[in-house]
Amino acid sequence: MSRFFEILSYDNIVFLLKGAGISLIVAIFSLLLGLLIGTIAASFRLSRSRLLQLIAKVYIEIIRGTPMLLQLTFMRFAVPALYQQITHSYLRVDPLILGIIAISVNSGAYVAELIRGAINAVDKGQWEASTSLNLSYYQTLRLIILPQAFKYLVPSLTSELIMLVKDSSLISAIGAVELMHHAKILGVNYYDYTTPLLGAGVIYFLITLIISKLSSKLESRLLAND
Amino acid sequence: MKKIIVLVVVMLALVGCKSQPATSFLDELVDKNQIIMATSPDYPPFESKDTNNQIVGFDIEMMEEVMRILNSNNNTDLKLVLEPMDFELILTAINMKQADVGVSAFTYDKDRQVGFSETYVVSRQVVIVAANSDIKTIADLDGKKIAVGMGTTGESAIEDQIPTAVIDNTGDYPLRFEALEQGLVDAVVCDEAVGDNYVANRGFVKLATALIDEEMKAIVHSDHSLLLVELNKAIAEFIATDKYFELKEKWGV
Amino acid sequence: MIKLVDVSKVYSDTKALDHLSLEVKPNEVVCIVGPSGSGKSTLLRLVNGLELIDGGAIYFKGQAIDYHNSKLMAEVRNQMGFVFQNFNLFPHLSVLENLMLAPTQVLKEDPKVVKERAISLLKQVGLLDKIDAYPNKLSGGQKQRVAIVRALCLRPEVMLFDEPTSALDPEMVKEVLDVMKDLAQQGLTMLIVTHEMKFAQEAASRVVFMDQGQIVEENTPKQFFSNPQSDRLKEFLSKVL
Repeated sequence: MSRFFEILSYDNIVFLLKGAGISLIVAIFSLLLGLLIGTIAASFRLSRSRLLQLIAKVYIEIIRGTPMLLQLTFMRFAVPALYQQITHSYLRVDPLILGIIAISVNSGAYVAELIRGAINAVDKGQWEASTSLNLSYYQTLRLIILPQAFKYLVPSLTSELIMLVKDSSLISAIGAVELMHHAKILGVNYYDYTTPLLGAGVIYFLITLIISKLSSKLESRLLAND
Repeated sequence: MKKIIVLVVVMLALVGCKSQPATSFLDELVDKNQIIMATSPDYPPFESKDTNNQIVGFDIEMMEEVMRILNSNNNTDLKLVLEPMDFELILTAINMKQADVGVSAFTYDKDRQVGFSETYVVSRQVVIVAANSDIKTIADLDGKKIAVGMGTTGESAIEDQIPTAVIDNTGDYPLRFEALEQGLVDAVVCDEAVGDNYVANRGFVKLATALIDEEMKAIVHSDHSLLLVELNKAIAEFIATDKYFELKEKWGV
Repeated sequence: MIKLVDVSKVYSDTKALDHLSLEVKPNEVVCIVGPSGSGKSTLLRLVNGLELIDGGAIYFKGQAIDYHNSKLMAEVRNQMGFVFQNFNLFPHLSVLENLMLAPTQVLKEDPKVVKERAISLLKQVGLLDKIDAYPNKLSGGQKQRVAIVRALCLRPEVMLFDEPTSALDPEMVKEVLDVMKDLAQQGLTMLIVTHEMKFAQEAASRVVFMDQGQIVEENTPKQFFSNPQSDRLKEFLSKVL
């Protein structure tokens, strides 16, 4: 315990915060990309084409049915391996990029279901009005339904973002650097892992707290127009 | 679980894999301009990261010297590129030809399907226990819980010598020593240089008898015989230099 | 203009519409009245393609409507305006945006032209001052008038009204009916499902009585209300008048 302040010195805390910065970046990018992927998947899921519905269902089931760590590790090795097979040359992708892609793909599956729920929560009359005004399926989704579905999404997207901040710690398994990894580096250099982990834990907690608070504010703003 | 991924991915990689006979060790490299070294930097003094995210350690500096010699022997200008990853994944990376050489305090294990280089440093697998522990000899480890790395020679040694011990190979070394501190495990098995540091910094105790004497080697893909030849030449030269002893002193290896 | 021939619609085991035939000629204002569950709304929704018929055919301007051909359906829908009982305005868009959305996005018309049309239509119904307001700031009657104008912005040849005043507080019914009377006087072809008997008397060219999925009686307003022929109509009128 006497080493507590030696280990959690100003410089080391800054070091941890740098890692936290990367965790946040990974989480935010994954959420945005995941939103994009999820919206596409949700619209496939709701479309009238059986083929598109099937593609979406398979994607969502596989991603939700396998652990994220497995997906991450798989991407880390399978993607370059396939590339090697096809082009017979080496592809080195920064593990951070790979991590963001893998986590986005993962997030997309969960977000797709959230969006589907939010879309279904929008009054059916909106669909009927759009149809009678002759808007196409995709125009209706884009211009009428999704903007209204969005306010239902804010609480669930917040939970998703918080999960992503925590899940971002997994990218250290494939060689990327973020908060958990920085905590481990301190642990290795000071031969004391518990103290840095404590510091990292506090930082994770503060981040998720701030995200929750900001999201409540956003929610009340959006509901004001109702 | 990681082993299943290895299987799946290796199967993918082997599909349609054509190998042409290599005429120079450069053909065996993933990328002809560099030698990619896979390592797991959580094992000081062999390899670890400092607070600037730089990978440092005996293995790193040793390989830098070895590369210098290899380059001068062959009139090449190959860069040494470090590829950090979890220890258990290094073998996969080597076998999938995504790294050229694995240097991460590996020691010879007949079950590992890879090519082993010449020994570059001698080590021992030792047993570390808590300061107030009753365990004084290897025999005292009967039926006890021991933390050790997954797929390591230390793990095999425990299986051979203390079959009644309960092995916990989850997590990584920093976590294992925390577990020892918390009393979640009774002992940790690791390389001597690593254990010595934890003894010095955390007041643990090292058992007088080591589990097994070992020789540290680099690993390469079992097909890459030409690369292995060059590597071995350079390592042999390096061991004969003063720099080698300097490094060993510096890192306490 | 619109001809339903032998149209049937079945839900589970109930026949919502039972071999029904009806014709609406250009410039006609046809009011459909009847008890709940008689199939009046269903009829309207079938014409617009919000639901699909199970039997018979519907003709628009002499051509049979093919509900499975989305391109042709779109062309037909462009000429029909639909007003819902619950208005169904788009809450996240202002009144002007509500009006301009379809003409600009679907018909790809020049926004400037559409805006002028929207302004003049809003003037006609007396809501020009609400042009930038959001639906949640409007009263029910105002919302429905905006909904009517939104449909009119596409310049349809026929307007279909599905119980347009049923969801309104009584004091707001008149303003909506007045708008509809205006449209009738301008010669717009209208097919209206309603409970407002007085409106039907004053504005309709023809009144139709439906019960249990069939047309029981249809006549000019004068004859319909003062000289009902069938017993069921007599019974119905005695209850509502």
